[in-house]
Order: sequence, then C-alpha cells, then structure tokens
Amino acid sequence: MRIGSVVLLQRGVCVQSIHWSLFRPLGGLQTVMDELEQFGCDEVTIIRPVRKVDAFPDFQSDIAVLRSLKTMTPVAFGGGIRSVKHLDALAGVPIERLVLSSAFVNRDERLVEQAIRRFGRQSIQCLLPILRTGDRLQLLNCDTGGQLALSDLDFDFIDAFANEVIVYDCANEGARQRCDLSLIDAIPIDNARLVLSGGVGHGTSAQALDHRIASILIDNKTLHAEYSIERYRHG
Amino acid sequence: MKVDVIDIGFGNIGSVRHWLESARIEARVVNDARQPRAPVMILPGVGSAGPYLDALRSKRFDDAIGQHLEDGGRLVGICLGFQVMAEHCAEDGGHEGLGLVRGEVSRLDGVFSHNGWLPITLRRQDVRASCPDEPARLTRKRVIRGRVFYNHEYGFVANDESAYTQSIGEGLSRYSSIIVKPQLVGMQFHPEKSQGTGVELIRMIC
Repeated sequence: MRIGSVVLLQRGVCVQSIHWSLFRPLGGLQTVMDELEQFGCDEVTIIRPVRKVDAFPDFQSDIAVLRSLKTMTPVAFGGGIRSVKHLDALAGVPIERLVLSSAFVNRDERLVEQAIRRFGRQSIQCLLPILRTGDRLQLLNCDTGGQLALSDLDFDFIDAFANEVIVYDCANEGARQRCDLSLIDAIPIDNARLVLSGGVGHGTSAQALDHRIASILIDNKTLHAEYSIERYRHG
Repeated sequence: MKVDVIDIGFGNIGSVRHWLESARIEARVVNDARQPRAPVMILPGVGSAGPYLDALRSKRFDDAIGQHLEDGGRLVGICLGFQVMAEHCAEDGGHEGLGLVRGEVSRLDGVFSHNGWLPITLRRQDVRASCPDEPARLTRKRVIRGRVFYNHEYGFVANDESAYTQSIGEGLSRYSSIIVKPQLVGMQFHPEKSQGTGVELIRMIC
C-alpha cells in the first residue's frame, strides 16, 4: 500500500482545508513538496479545490506554479480540468497522473478519452468527494456545486475509463483518525483500485492495509500537525 | 555528458528535466527530429501506446532514433518510452513497435494494474553493458540498492538473448523491470520519480 499526501493548491499557494469548505494558507507549493519528499512520501496528489465557477486564466496561473515545480516524487494533479483546452495546458507539466472528478460524474466521455490519449489510462484517477448524511451517501459535484446520490453514479463508466478511484471523505476532511472506511463498501470497484483520503490517520493506515486498499492520502490537517507549522512558516 | 530529451507532446518532460539536472547532467528538450545531437537520447513515457507511436512516427523521430543508434549513440526509454522499443505493443488495439528489443508488450496478467514502489538492486557491470567501451563518469558506485516507482497496465515480455534483463517480481516475474543491451537501456519504472534511487541510476547510466 502506498502512503501519500493530498496538497490543495488555491491561487498559487497551498491551503489547508477542513470539511471541504474552510481554507487556511500553508505556504508555497515547492516548500510543501520539498518537505514531503524529505519524508519519503510515496506520492502527492495536488488538487485545486474548485467549486462551481473556475476561470481559465486562474487555471493557467496555477499551472504555471505547477510547471515550475521541481520534485522527484510521483505527482497526480486535478481540479478544474473541464475541457480539452485544459488538457492541452498540461503538456510537459511535471505530473504523472491526472485526477478527474466532474468529468466522471457528468459522464464526459470525450474529455476522459482525450485525457487517456494524452496520459494513458494507467494515469487516470477518478475522485469521488462523498458526504455521509445519516444513512445517505451524497456525491458532491464540483462543477455545479450540487449533490447527487452516490448510487446514481455510472460506475461501469468509471470502471472502464479510470485506473484508480480516490474515495474522498468530505465530512472528515481536516480531522485526525476519523476517516470513514465504510465508504469503500459503497464503491463497486475492487479495493485494490481504491485510494482513500479525508481524515486519514495512523489507525486508518492499518485498517486500509487489511482491506487491500491501493493507497491512503494524508490530508493537510495531519501534515500540518506532523511536520509542524515551523516548516511552513517561510513557505 | 549531454542528454537530449525527446518531446513529442507527451509525457512529464518537466519531471525528466529536473531528474537529469539533479544528477548534474546537461539536458536539452528536443521537439524536432533534425535536432538530436547528444550522445544519449531519452524517450520519456507517460501516455498511451497508439497515439505515442503515431506522434513518434509522424514527427520522424523513429528515423532519428535509428540514425542516432547507427551513429553509435545511446537510447534510454522510460515506461512507455521503454515499451515502444518492443516489436509489438498490444495497447490501443495493437501497434508495431520500434523493434529495438526482441519481445512484446502485453496486458498485465492477473492484476488490473501495477502502481507502487518495489525494491531494486542494480550492479554497475550490468548497467554499463549499454556502453562497454566507456568508463562510468558520474559515479563509482558498484551497486545501487533502492526503490523505484511503477505505474503501468501493460508489461514488456522480453525475448532478447543479447539483453540483460531483470524482472519486476512480486507476481509479475514474466515482465521486465529493466533491460540493458549495447546502446540501449529500458526501464518499466519511472526513474525520474524514484527519488534518490533514480538519481543514482542515471549517474550509473551516464
């Protein structure tokens, strides 16, 4: 099992997110990545936390930050990739994997196929931001800002076009040791292709290993505590 | 040592460039088949075999690679850039490869994909087989022990008696992790994303 990290990139700087809505600045992307690489992090998933409207110049501006990144840790990137124009902007950027969410939720076959042409299916990860409300599991659509029942999702489409699925526990994002592992029971895809994130802690790691999960991604809150604020002060 | 990184519009060119710079190797990104002149050429590898091979051929890099090898140059292939060295690649409905290494690339057997880190041990004498007449310049290390990062759904089944091969292992023993033969080094893993081990490895190759 891989142990990685989620890093949120907003307007060119890294931010800490709690419960999918609050953001605190953490520092520059290069500083954060250097720290993670120093600790031998297996992979880093850089996400732009886009909600509804996302202007293309904002996307380009974040890509410019990403393009200048110097790292030898595998990087997956996603957030706001909504057209072929966005994919073209990623040419030559130092990323190995692509994270798509709205494209899978909206069943945008053309965009997903173009992503596969450019990156290969082995690089495609589908991110599912899930919110548990009582017994109901709702999927957050980053494109529209709306919600839909997880059961309404076309998992055959995801199974055919994604290499791995990132199950993102939105309710516990930013918390420690609270990741709801039962979310994976609602995903009809082999556990060996699932990546778990949102409130991941040491306890989650052992449980995830038992469930044969492919990877866990520690979110900002945990990193913030583990590596101390001192490291980010000069970011 | 100078290295040309082939840019056909695919792949993590930025990562490859940073990797080479970290090993203090002078890297130049080349997107015109008439440009390559360095002693070592690198074929990066993030993409899908069909479109990748189409782009390679339409930009005439297949001829440039052939000429480069004929002139005594060396070629390093990474992941997909390694797989296209085969005679045949099964991905995207099947495509004829560059035929530089005997063997074929097929869908991984028994697993959906292979994404993660595995240990590797490489000896200098094996890696240096790609350039027997040249001394190692960037490192005097005899053995590299470390871990490397894989991300692939297809694997290289080599059938080339002239090549040194090491298998991936862990249930994927019929697939090659690394192949070395005179003028050629191919790696299924991503050395440019294998942290310190990747840097040690390119120092051993160059």
